[in-house]
Amino acid sequence: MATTLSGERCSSLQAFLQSARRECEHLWRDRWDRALVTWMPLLALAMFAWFFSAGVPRKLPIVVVDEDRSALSRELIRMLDENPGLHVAYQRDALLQAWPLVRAGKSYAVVLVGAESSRDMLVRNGGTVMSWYNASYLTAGQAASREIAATVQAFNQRVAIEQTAAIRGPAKVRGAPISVQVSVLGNASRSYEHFLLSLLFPAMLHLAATLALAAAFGRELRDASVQTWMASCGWRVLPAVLGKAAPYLVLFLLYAVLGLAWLVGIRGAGVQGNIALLMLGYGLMFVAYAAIALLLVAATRNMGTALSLVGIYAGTSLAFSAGTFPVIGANAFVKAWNTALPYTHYLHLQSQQLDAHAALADAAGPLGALVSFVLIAGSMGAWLYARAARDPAAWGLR
Amino acid sequence: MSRFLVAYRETFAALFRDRYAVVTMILAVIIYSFFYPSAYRHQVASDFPVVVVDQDHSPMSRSLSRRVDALNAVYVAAMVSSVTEGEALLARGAAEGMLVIPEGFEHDVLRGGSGGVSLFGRGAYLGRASQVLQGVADAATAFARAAATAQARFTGAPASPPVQLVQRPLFNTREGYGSAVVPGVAQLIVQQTLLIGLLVMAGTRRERMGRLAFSRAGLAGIAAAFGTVGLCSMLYYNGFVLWFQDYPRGGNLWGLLLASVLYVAAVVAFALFLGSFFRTRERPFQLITFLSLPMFFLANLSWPAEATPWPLVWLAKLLPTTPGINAVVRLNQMGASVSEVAPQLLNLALLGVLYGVLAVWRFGRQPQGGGAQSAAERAPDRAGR
Repeated sequence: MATTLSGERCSSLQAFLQSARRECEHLWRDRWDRALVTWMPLLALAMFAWFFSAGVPRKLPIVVVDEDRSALSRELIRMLDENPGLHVAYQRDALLQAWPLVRAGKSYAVVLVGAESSRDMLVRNGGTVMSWYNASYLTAGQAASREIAATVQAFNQRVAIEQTAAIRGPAKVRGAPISVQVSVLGNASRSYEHFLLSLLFPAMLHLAATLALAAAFGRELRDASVQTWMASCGWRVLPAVLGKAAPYLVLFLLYAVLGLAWLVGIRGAGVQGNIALLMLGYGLMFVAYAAIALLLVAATRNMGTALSLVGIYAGTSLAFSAGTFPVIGANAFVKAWNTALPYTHYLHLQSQQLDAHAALADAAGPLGALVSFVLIAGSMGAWLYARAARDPAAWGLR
Repeated sequence: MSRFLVAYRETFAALFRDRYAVVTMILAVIIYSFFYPSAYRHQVASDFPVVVVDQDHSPMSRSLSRRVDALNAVYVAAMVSSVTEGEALLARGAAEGMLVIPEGFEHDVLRGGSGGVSLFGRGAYLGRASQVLQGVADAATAFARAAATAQARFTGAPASPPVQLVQRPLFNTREGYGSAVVPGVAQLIVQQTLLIGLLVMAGTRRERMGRLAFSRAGLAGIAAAFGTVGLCSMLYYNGFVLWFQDYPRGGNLWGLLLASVLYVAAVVAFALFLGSFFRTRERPFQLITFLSLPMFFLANLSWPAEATPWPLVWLAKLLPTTPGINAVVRLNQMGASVSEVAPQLLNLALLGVLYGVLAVWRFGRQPQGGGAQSAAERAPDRAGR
């Protein structure tokens, strides 16, 4: 029990609870602060869940230019259209008529079966089919291109080999000497839904949490209410700060569980690794971002500036996390920034525990990194925030 | 001077007096232009660690490993002899892919049979796994073809496949990830900085002066001032930044300028309409920052509209970014003609009209205001939310 210069005597636990209650009361009163930590993040998760519910791109429209006009070329076009990933939306007589459809976004790829292709197929040593795909719309373009390649391979195996055998004799027909069987571990159906939601859920949640926490810490300085708040907690800064963050951490951990329940419970095949480790990492990531929000507010002493910095830091996590694009081969700045994001380390842990079953010891690296964010940013933030709380010059800045 | 010009001039004066507005609409625009693209500067994935599980221990299996190691996209990080060991490396993240060469591989190839190899990627990183796997699969197939041809003397050459498929990427011909993402994100940054800047200023005025009201000419002057700022950001990103980062660009310059004007008009009208609801200076940072990711995905640049539930596709058309990003990327990167992006341009024009009318309605309801009046600055009202 410590006595303080001003304010009430209270234990750390009392200070923590008092602070948490004060923040809950604020959230209860302030409709928009409440919205930003309740229905808005939930709505965003639900929107993303619905958005990607197709799982993989299906029925991608393509345009076919058939200059060959043979039974074989028609068979290839039929097989392209039968591929669930593709839809032969247009057929044109000349290549020049195909490009506008691509530029207008009506078609993601062009397939050209040139004149006399079927004769080359049967008589000469093979014909050529050309295909162009839209690499500006990279996901759709590459997906269309993969499906076209798969269809041509199936066409080769099923249809054309029979035809060749009939003309050149069965002795000439042999399959490809090596078959390469490609599969993706932990996501056998190659679901983009699973892949992207496992990145976007934690990305949205940590951004929303960091913004809300920076606003919560910043609001007390902006409104010059920090002294009242601290006094009500007996100037026990650390418990007071933790108490303020607690309601947010509880809420966002709840949303994290809901997100995972959707991702692997309802839409997926469960957590492959250790679910307790995964949740520990999720929680530590939120605490790490809380510590960073505290540090940014305390260092800038300005709510708006701190929120802008959160935008740069936590709003671009996805780009720098290596989740969508690797940092191997990136420059030193990108690698350093990548390491300086708790989200990166959480994703590392998630990749070990969600779709794989990594050894327990493998989790030490990412968990250790998250803990060090909490300790370093947390101690610096608490120290600076305690100073700002006692310094009237730090209040009311906008 | 007309009310329009007064409002135009005073909006600029107010902008430069407001620290948050300057930081957001000028400084952040410049910072993001260097910061964001840096994540994708290397464009194409390379040097991925792959683990090889060699169960054959033959000259041919070693030769295949060397071939894989020589690829640009990957290198062999480890050679192990059991799948379990390989899987552990994948699970830990020490390798991104695993090539399994089964026992009897060399024997099969030499006999002229078909030896099979298996390739595994990490599910957690589907986007990068598929690129890597494709590279390794191509190398393994080429290796096998060469090996089999060497055996042709004994068994007769294998038939080449009846159809050889040649595939070529369009527009973004290196298939750079940055080239595919950043030009879209750039338009989002233009919108978000303008939105936050305008909303911060609207919220601040609302705190100080209560409910805002502007004459139509005054509102037009304010809109023109923010429009000028927005056009500068547009030109900076689509002219300078995309050139500086060396992304594919410059397909249809006049079309791009037309789209830029329509886009900025739609964004400003959208921002003015939203601005009529904001009552606190700091609130826009919280809300608009949070909305960036959903807005980007809703534009359907990174995920095809054909695979998106149709109500979301239609709702997304209410956001300026959706037609804006698609029109600008098609005009600038794909060289589309104006008629090829007519639906997007029409969408932008309609949004400009829709939000413009709504903004006039929201701000015109209290007729005592006139122009962006040179307000007697009252002390900020801290209690305002």
